[in-house]
Amino acid sequence: MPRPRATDPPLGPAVFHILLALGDGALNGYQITQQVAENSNGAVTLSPATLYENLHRLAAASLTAEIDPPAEEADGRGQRFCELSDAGVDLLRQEVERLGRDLAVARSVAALKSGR
Amino acid sequence: MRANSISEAPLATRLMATLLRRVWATYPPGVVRRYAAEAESVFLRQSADARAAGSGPLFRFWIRSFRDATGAAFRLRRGSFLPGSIPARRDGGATSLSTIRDDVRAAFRSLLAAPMFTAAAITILALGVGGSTGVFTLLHSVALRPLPYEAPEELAVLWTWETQRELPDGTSYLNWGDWQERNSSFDDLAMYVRPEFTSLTLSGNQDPRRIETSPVTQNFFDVLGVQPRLGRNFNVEEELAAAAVVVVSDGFWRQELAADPDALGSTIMLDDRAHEVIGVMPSGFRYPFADTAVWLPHSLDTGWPEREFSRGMDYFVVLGRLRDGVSFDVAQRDMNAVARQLETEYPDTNTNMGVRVVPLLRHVTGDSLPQALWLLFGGTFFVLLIAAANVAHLALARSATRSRELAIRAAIGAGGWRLARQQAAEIGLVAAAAGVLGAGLSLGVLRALIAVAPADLPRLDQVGIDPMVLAAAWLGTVTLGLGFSLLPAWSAARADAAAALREGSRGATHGGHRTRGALVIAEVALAMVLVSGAALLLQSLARAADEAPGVAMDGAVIGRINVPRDRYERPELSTFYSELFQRLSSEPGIESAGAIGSLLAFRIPDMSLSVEGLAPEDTPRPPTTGENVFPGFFATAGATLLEGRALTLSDLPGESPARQFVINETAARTFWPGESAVGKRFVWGDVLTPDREWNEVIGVVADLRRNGLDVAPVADFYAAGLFHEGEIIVVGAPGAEEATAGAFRRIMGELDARIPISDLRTTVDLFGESLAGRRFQSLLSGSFAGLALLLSAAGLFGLLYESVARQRREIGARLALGARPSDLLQSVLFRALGLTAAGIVLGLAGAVALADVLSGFLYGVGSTDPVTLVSAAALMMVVGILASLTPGIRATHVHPVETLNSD
Repeated sequence: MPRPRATDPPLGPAVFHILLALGDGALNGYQITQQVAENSNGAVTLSPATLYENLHRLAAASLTAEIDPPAEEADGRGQRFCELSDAGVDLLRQEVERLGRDLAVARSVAALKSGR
Repeated sequence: MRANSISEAPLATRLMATLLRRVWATYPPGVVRRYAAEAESVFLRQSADARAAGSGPLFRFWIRSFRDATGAAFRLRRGSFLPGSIPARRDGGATSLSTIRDDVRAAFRSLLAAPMFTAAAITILALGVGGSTGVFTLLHSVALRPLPYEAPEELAVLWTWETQRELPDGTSYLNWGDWQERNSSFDDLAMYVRPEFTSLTLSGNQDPRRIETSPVTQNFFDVLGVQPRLGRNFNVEEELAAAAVVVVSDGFWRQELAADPDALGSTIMLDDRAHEVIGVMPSGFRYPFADTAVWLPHSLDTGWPEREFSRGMDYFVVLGRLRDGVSFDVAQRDMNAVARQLETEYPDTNTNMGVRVVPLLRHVTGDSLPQALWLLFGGTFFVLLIAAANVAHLALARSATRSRELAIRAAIGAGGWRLARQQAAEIGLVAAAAGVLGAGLSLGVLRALIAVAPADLPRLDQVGIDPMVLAAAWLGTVTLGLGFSLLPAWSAARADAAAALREGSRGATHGGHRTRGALVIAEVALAMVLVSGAALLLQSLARAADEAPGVAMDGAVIGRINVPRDRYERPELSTFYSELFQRLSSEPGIESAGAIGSLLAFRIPDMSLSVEGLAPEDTPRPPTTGENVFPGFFATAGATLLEGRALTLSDLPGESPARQFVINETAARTFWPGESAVGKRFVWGDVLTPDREWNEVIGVVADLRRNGLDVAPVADFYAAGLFHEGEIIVVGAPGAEEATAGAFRRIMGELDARIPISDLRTTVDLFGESLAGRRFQSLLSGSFAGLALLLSAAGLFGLLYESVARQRREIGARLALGARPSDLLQSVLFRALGLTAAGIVLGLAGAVALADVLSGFLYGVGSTDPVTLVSAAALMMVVGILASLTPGIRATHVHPVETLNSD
């Protein structure tokens, strides 16, 4: 049996949050860490190693693509900008739908219904 | 400011980034190329963000970054989850550089995989490095670093040298003039007044206090090659006219003159006389002393200009700058010739007067101090060696447990050399990390050393870590670490694969074990040398501290006063003292008070005398001092009168030049051996000149330890006298020293508020300070010895523990065959005792061989004192037994069946 890949659902929190952060448009590495922190209310902080390990995986699986930095962001630091590829957008959508189904099930569980 | 460039980041962040870069470098090359630089930039920006949130979040962020980075290293290398990213295997044709890189990477990973070993090795080695770097830095700063003057290697101090008694002496103005004219070795000779004559009272806005001044000749600053950084030096005209001008130190300018650039031209009051400030020296300038606050023309002294015409007035120290290319030897020979000429021309004053040329650095640091520091450095070096031996132990133990793995790798084709190299790389990494940690530790060690160092250690205020010293220590550690790593690497290279595999879990090589035994013996031997040395030094300290100072120690305080000469002529001075003592003795709580020129002798004991009835050649010439005391001093000080009577007011100098003297036991024994000294007569100097009459000895007192508790007393001659500068000793109730000192201050204030009291302290402190250097030495050597003891015990423990673990099957078999547990304990203990005893014998031999080095630092105990050495050996033995107990007991707990079944 082939090993599951990190980019197969269900996604790990790091991969999921990176995809989510890129959902609003292209970002560089540092911006991704900031966006992730904001999206997760500070619960997820990406260390540089985790960030680039996963960017490497996402790029290798063609889920993201590198683009030239937008003109207003070209600050000479040579930071790579990434955006989601179509496959990346599909993957994110699938994952969100899966999570949505799980959430709906969770909400219907008696133990979690209000009044208990 | 955003710190997203590495050079702008704080040091700790930079270090962390460097560490991470190392880890990232182990990632597959493609990942490194693409992402490493960016990852670093992100790390720096995130660190800056986390820092803003506080040090806790920053620290947690760093920990997580490191953990993630090492985790990713394994995942990326294994290629897990990563289609197509498994790194291609290097083929045999790889360059040596890349193999070394691979070795280092492999070593790094294998160290991470054995955190206990890594942490222990780094800690032990860092202790050794930190200690030795700290001590060496102190040694370097105090004794080795060049002086902060222009071409300091050309500077020399020239002493008049009493050839008969081998004593240095000051130089007179006239002799200086002749030296200056007749020598051919020096560009220039300057002079400053000997320090015992140079403190002055600074008065003005605040309470009067004593400051250190240096009366100098006009060319003093030129010879040193340092000029005032504000204003100017005084000129020849001002020197000859005794103009009241001063150049002040940077510290004085900041403290007293509020660092005001316009202070030039203002006046300060020294001994109630106005002096104009004409210059400010640079902040690093501290010659002749660290606390010299003011330099002024020597001609301002009250003794000027009579001194000019007296060749016998030895007020000055001469400072010279050698001509280009002239060596100290040549200069010494040149000055010998000059001194011989002067001896012939002025026999009255210059007979037996040579010259000694001393390099300035040696003059500043002294002779014994660098020796003492070298001794300490030797001690730390021993500790470093023991530490390195311990790391070699750890490495050997590790290679023993890994021997099966190594043997398998060797069997499937890895060369022995390759395996050895990888181990060397591991130790190299450990040494490098220990070097970095040790550098940090050395700062702490240095701070602690400075805190406990005696205050009179020269240049103590300028001690700082020198990057070169640090680099040298670091390089030394890495070299040492690599050197020691050769041992395990060599034993790994020799590992016999078949044997190692056959031996099963026992898997150690016997060669390695023998090496470790030898290492333990060496460690014990080194520790033994340190322990016996420290024991001898501690014994000396104890003996010195036990010496009776011969002075009242209970409830006594002592302080120095300076009565201004212009307001107190002889009659006023007499009244002043009478009134002072009358008031002090009528003060409730004060028992008595007395006065002496200086309780602790600080002048060179260079007096000579002629004894009635003895030919000059038969007269002993021991080190001798003369001192003035105010009548009543001996009773106050609690000195025991052994013979004759004490000095009274009627013995104060009167019309007759002849004086009455009370001498100490040593003087009586030296000059009048085997008879009573009372009633004997003598005269100062070599000849009885017509204007002198015989002085008479009227009493003998027990020796006072005026040269410090650990220095044998010299011959002391005390006369009754009135003096402007002297020490008042006040004895009150024991335990009430504060109150006694307070009463003394109050009464002095009532008598004359303009007379400063300096150095007010208890006599216990005064004599305690005389042992400060010895205490410092004992403290340090004791710490080294303790550390050495601990490290060598750790080595022994490790060896035995590991060997018991290794022999579990054998022990199990012996138990199964009916051996009693006590037999097993005994065999472990015997082994420990054997190793320790061998180390002790070697160490004792070393200690005896080094006895000469130590003998100069000892007091009241021989350098091969059997009792001390035997005690040290016994201590070592006890530590050896303690270290072997746990492994021994562990051996008795081996379960026979369990061990036989395992593996």
